[in-house]
Amino acid sequence: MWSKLNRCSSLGVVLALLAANAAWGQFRGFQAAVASPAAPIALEAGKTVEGSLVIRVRPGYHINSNKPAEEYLIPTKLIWNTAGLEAEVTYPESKLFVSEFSDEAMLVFSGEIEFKTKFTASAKLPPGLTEIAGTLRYQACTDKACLAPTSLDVTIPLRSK
Amino acid sequence: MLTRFLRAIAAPLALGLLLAGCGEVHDHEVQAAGTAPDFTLKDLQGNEVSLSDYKGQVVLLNFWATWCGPCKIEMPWFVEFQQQYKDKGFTVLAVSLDDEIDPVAPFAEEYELNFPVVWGDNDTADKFGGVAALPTTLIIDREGKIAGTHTGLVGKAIYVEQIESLL
Repeated sequence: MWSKLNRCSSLGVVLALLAANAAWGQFRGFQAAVASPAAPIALEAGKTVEGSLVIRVRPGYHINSNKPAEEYLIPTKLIWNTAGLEAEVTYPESKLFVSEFSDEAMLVFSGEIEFKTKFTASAKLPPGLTEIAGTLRYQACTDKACLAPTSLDVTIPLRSK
Repeated sequence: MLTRFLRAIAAPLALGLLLAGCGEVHDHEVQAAGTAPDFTLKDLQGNEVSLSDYKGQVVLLNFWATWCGPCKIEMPWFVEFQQQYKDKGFTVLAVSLDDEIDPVAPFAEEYELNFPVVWGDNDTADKFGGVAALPTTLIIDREGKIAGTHTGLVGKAIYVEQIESLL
């Protein structure tokens, strides 16, 4: 059964172990997208400041853009959850991806991508706030297979005044 | 014990090989997996459908979801297989792993799926050792034994060869 294991097997086993505990819908920590540490920003009530979130999509994977070409596809969505903030997200530019098995082009994100957000702080920021917390919701595929939709917790630290 | 271990890692290992860029997914002769586990799920009309209902037929059991791009590429092939082979004792059985059933029926209508489509869950996936990625497709022979497993999209000709060898 495993007679076709070859030079790829060692890397394959490593990758398999990442998913080895995963029943469907429970990828137990494996993320196809990883957040880089974000540069701190300073919030001031009533003012708008821009923050940057860099996400690295693992090699071999892509995630749907925020506006995929078809309604069935699950879009990437960045939501900031911290109370007292208005957030306007600018999504990265998407790329066209065409599978070798199909002529249909998909709009995807891959590689290193940057999400910029304009934060406007109200006067009612929670006291002692040290970071802005958010959730990146996405669904990843390779050119041949797809993983379950998942969420990545992301943060942007706040610079002390 | 070894059989169950091998079955449990078959799909993740296939995914690992796939993601390692090691070329197309190889046919997985999962003889070690033995008999396909039975399950009962509801189809889009609310009727109960069991895998054992198809004992005596060759079954292409496909785990998929409406949001899975590679799955959509395969569906027209499966429609063709159903039409071409149904009179020879063959059926496709598609198990949707969408979180919600709402998008499944419109999808089935749009793609003119001519085979049973049921709405699956984690328990069903766990019976097969966990479905690591979609699509995952098993070819089951007339005796209910798993003759092949594919994790990820593979070429149409691979399915044709396997199906015809079992008919």
